[in-house]
Amino acid sequence: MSDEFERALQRALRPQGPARDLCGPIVVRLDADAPAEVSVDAPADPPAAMPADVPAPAPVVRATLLRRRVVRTRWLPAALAACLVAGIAIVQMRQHALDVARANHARAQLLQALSIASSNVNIVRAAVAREENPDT
Amino acid sequence: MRLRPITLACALLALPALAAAADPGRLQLPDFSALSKKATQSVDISLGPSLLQLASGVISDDGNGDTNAAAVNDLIKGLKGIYVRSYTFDRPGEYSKADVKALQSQLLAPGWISVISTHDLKQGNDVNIYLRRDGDHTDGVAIIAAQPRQLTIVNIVGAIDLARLARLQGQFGVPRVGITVDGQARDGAPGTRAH
Repeated sequence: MSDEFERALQRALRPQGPARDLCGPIVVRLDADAPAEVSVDAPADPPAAMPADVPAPAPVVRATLLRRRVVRTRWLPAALAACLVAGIAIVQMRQHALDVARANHARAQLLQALSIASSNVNIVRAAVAREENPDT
Repeated sequence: MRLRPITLACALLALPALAAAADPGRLQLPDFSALSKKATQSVDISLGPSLLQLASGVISDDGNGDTNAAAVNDLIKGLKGIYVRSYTFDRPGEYSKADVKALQSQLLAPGWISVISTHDLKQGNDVNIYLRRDGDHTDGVAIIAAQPRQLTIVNIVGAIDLARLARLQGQFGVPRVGITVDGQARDGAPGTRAH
C-alpha cells in the first residue's frame, strides 16, 4: 500500500520540461500586453489565439524581456544620434579639406598674379630709370 | 503684359553696366580663348573679393610673423579683385593689336588715365600702365604688356601702391624676372632692380 502510494506520488511529482511551443505564446502575450506596440490597422488578439492550457509567463522571463526592450529603446536613439554626429563630422572635415585646398589654390594664383604685375611694373621702372640716367 | 519681357531684357542688358558701376576699376576682359589655343603657356587668373580674402587668410597663416606675408596682406588689403591673362607663344606674331582693341577702348572711358607707356624698339616690348582715378584715390590699375612672343594683361581692382607692388617681385619663392638697368630680363637672375 505504501509502495503504491509512493509510486503514484512520484508519477505526480516527476520533473517535466516545458512544452515545445511555450515560448511563442509567451512572446505573443507580452507583445499584446504592451500598449505601445498595439497596431491600429491590425489589432492583434493574442490572448484569444493563445491556447487555454498555456500558463502565464513566469515573472523572471517577463522581466528579462522587458529589460531587454528597455535597453534596446534606450540605446537605439543614442546610437542613431552618434551616427548622425559622426556623419556631420565627416562632412565638415571634407568641407574643411576642400576649403583649405581652395585657399591654397587662391594663394598660389594671387602670388602668381602679383609676380606678373610686379615684373611688368619693374620693366617700366627700368625703362624710366634708363631714360633718366642714360649713362647707367 | 507685353512690357514685362522688354523690362526683363532691359534689366539683363543693364547688369554688366551695373556691375561696372559697382567696381569702376574693373575691365571687362575679352574672350581670349583663340589666343589660349595658340599659346604654349597661358595664365588665366580671376580673383574676386572672396578668393582674395581666402588667399589672404592662408598667407597670414603660413606667414608666422613673416614680413613678406605682412607686405602682401598690406598690399592686397584695399583690393577687390585681380584679373590676369598672359599668353606666351613659341614664335612672334601670334597675336595682333586687334586682340586688345576691345580692352583699349574701355581704357578710353572717363576716369582712366595712361600714366606711363614704354616702348623698347630693340626688344619690341611695349608696356602701358593705366590708372583709374576717382578724385584723389586710385580704384583700378590696368597693365598691358605686349612683347613679341608674349601678351600680358593685368587688371587690379581697388587701391594699390605700384611702388610696393614692384618691391614684391622675387618674394615667396616666385621666380624673379631680373630687370637690369640695361633692359635685359633674365629669368632667375637677381639683376639690378630699378627703384
